[in-house]
Amino acid sequence: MSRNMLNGAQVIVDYLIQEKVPQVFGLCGHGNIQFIDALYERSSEIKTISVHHESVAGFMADVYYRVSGRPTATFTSCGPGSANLPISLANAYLDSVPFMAITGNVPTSQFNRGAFQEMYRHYQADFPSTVRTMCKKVFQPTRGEMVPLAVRQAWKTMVTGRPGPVVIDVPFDVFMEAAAEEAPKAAEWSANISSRCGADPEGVEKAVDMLLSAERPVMLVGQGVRYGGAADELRKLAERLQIPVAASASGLGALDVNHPLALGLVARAGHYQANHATRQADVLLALGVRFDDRTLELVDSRLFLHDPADAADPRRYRSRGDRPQLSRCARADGRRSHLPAPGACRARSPR
Amino acid sequence: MADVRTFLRQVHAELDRRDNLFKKSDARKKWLAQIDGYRKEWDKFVAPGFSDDTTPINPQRAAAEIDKALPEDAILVSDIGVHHNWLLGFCKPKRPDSLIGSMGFGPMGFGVAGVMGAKFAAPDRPCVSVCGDGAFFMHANVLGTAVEYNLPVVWVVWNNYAYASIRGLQRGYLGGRELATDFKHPETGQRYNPDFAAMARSCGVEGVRVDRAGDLGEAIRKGIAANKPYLIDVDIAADINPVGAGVWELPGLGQSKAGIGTRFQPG
Repeated sequence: MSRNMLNGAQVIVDYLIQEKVPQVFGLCGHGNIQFIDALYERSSEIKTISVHHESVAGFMADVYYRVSGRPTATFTSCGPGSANLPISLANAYLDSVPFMAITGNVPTSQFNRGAFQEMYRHYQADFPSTVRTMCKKVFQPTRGEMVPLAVRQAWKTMVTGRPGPVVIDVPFDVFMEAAAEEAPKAAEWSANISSRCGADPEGVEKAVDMLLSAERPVMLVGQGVRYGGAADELRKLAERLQIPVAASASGLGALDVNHPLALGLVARAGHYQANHATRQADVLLALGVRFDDRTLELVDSRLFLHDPADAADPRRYRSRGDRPQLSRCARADGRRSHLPAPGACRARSPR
Repeated sequence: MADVRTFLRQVHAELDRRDNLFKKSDARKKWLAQIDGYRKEWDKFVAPGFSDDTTPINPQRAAAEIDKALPEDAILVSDIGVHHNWLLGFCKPKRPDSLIGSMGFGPMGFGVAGVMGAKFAAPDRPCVSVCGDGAFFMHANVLGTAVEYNLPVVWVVWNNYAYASIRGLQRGYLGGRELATDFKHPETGQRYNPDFAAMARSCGVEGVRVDRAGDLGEAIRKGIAANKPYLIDVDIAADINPVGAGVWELPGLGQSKAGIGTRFQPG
């Protein structure tokens, strides 16, 4: 390798430093010692935290983001080391929390040869199949020069739109191969991104019409309000229009629970005032909440839905023939109008 | 389709253009008064749990004691299990990141390990994990990491000697046919768990046991003030289940009963 070229591992580490990742969490293995060596070189700029189980690394990266609003990264080896990670990846994925998982794999020269710790019997070096249901996207650069593209695409994928974890699965030799003279300039690839898209102006007018004509309105908030940095705007709206605020489990705290308009928690373990008010609301403004099966009894109200994080229709638990699977969301009485959801994008930018 | 904050700003801007924001103010007053009635009913319904002084500790009382002991800026990271329900019901999070939990995938260990991530993100704020005995034993390796990196986090082990949320389902939906959901000594038949406080001490982490409700708050304050890795093993009553006001249906097994009130039936 020419002296002024960075290898694959160095490109990834440099990109993380450019993105101001203060530390990475992970666990060593023969499959990632070159990556750890690249961390060693830059140890004055990025800390390496070694844990005793790979899931722990993922959970730490996850909560690090939930508190700081900044994504970080994990490093794990090939085979079993990275196979300990998916629980935390899936957890972050379902809760829309980004982190970058750098997983090792066997050398490309050993693909399909059944090398030590290679998952090869279905497809070569097939960690991507292991995590395909558990992350936004998985990258597997198979030449050094593919690493710069992978790392900048992975970072952008992770933080834009609905955030979530990404995996860069790097074969052993690719960590060491010449990749580029310098890593991509992170600022040029990320600084220009804003995912804070607004709503259709006509939809906003309609929403305001509904809120102003409501007699029994309730706002139901989920984690999109907390992690989207919208708590101030929420409190101001609640106070301005005197609308009580109920919360899903992940939305609790978006409005101080001691606030007079805070109703507390909906769903099974929730407070009576939150559940019973939400059930009876004539207009329900749902913000950054995705209505899981434990929240569903609440959606019989005349519904204005904003910003569902997931499959947009909260009535989705109905089974075929429109017979409700869950009896509590059964009543589609014509008296109550269900407005279609304005949309299903819960975009937010990293803070 | 929008970002929540952007949408709310749009709504505020639209409201700036409107004249009469309170055309339904009479109805609104009635609505808020009606809700206040529900609030009073709930407060009355749950009141006994706050003064229950029995041992093992009443879980509702435990949640309230934990909440009272936490300073305004504390970060409480919950694990997955019945303690999460209790915390959600009886803690009063003041900030968006006061109470962190996992609601999508729900993996045991999230709070046991996640609290260390919280500490990296907010080194100056108290970071406390409340986790079940099941999850803590599953991920007790965190004790070593906290020592190696000198992470002053506090684990409050909500110790009810069972996978209690699932045992609750066996009791609630399956006529109490309990199997594989609690931990017992094979010879005595008594409840079994390792001594978590001793386990912590063996790792170089301060470890204490609390079995009276009145001691819990002080133990947590002490744990936070110690400013080093700290574990509090708390003896929690296993036979009291959270009684919320909502329901959860497990298709095929039916629907749980709300502890208070009834489903709203539109006229």
